[in-house]
Amino acid sequence: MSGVPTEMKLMRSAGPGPAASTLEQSLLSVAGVSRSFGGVRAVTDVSFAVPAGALYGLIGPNGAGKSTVMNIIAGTERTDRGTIEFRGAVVNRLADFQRARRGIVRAFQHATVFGRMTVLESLLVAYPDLPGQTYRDVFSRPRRRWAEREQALIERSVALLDRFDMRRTANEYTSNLSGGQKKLLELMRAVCADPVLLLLDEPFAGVHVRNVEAVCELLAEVRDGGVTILMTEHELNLVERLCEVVIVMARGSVIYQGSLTEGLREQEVIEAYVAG
Amino acid sequence: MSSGLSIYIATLFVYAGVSIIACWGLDLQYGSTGIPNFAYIIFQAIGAYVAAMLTLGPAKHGSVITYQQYLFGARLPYPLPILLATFAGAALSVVVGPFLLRRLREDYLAIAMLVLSLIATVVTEADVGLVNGTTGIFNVPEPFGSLSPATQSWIYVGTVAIGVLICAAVVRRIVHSPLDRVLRSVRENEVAASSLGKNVRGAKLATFIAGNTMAAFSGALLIEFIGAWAPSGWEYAETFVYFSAVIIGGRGRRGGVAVGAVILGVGISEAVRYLPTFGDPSLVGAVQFMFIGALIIAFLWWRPEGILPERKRVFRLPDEAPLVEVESA
Repeated sequence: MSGVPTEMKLMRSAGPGPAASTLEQSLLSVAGVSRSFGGVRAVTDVSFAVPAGALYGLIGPNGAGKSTVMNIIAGTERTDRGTIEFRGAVVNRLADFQRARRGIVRAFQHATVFGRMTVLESLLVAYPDLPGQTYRDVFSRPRRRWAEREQALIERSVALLDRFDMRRTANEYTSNLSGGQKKLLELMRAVCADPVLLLLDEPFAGVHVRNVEAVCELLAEVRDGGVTILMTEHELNLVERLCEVVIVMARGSVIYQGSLTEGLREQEVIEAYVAG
Repeated sequence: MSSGLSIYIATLFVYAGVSIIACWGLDLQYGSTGIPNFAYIIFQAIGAYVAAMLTLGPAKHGSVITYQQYLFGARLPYPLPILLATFAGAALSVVVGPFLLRRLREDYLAIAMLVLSLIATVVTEADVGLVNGTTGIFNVPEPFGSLSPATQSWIYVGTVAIGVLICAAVVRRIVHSPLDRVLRSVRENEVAASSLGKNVRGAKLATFIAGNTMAAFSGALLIEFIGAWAPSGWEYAETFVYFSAVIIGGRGRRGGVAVGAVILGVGISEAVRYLPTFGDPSLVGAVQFMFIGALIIAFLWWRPEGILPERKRVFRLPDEAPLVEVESA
């Protein structure tokens, strides 16, 4: 792949993780990406690739630059240097909504909800294939075109809510949800948006312990359905359970890529976690 | 009923209808989408001026209007001036919208809109050749001039009522569509809406155009009835009257906004007329704005959701079939 720098190809790849072996089939390729805020270098020359259908973890201590990388991939932050390739095309110049329409959908570290919209509305607005979402559609198509489709999507959304025992909140304003419920709603909303690549920034943060298993099952199911997932997470036991490969960042750089078990034996990784 | 009283009542109906149309347009922008369009009044003014110029005829050749100056003119049959004036409001929105809505946060956008409104007033007053300066355009012939004044007025009430019904149908179509959710998601959280693939800027621009088209329509309807339009009638403060109507009536709730439009657009301005005379006569206008200011503070303090709060969209869930959106909870 032309966009993948030499450093990345030479990166240590402990274990049989698919990272090195499947670079050619990468769905996402981050190559030489750097980003500074004022005088602070948040991300420096970050490169990695994520193959299609994988569930990768992006981990590291606080301030490592994980969220910045997620923002850059999603298009909410621009890059100072480097390229983001998605499905073989450079997407650096695309706005966040254009990337979302190509399939890069994200859930934020701090849950972002539409406060004065109900839970069900928040899910319905995420579906990209629902007609009637533009002025042209509204005034050129008969109402039944979206009404019929909407009914099917309501059923699908309620089934999703049932997984987290949130059916009773369907007609509640999202501003009335607890922090954990907002986080779950955001995850469900991202799933409804028909993603090809799902970017999850600490999806388990604030989620009640009884829902952790349901989230794990949903993520595995989504991945098995062909969606590629890149997630940041501090709970290493969950990362180990879910992620085939982890990309470890520290001080704005990638310091390791491979299996978590092997990674935790690497001196650099241990020092990064201990020293921060 | 005397002819004078009949005309007065008809005039109140026209004012109410025009105010409702204008407030619905603003509510689409501010209530549904969160666009703080403090330049809203200039789009109403564009509609009024264009309708006047297309009714009066060319400025240099008319026998009645030789003492008025304006850019162009034509004598088009009714209701063509209203339709073309409405189109002019949409066209101006297409031109200025992309610049105003470009990457400006809500507070800065509000400032930019306010500045645009001030610039428009100053330029209009300073350049007399544009639309007759501070004097404004007047003697615009009424569309049903051959009839008696009272009959004219009531026929015009019917015209405005048709306009209100058309706008109500347009607004209702939007409110009961998935587009309404998209607009409200933009209002609630632009970043999150964008992350779901919603073209936030595109949605805001389209709503900006739609709302301003209604503003221009309302302006055109008004000048065809009152026959005159001057900058003193569309200063930036008038925008705040419409904003007050939206907030007091119930942002995002069309019925509430209509109530607010009638109270603010007609009720208060008429009520202050009956105040006993005191001090300088110009105080009446000041009292009107003081009262509106006090009212909006009171509502923001005690009832920020307005007289009729925004309707909560409640759906029956699958085991409670049929699966249809039901009315307010």
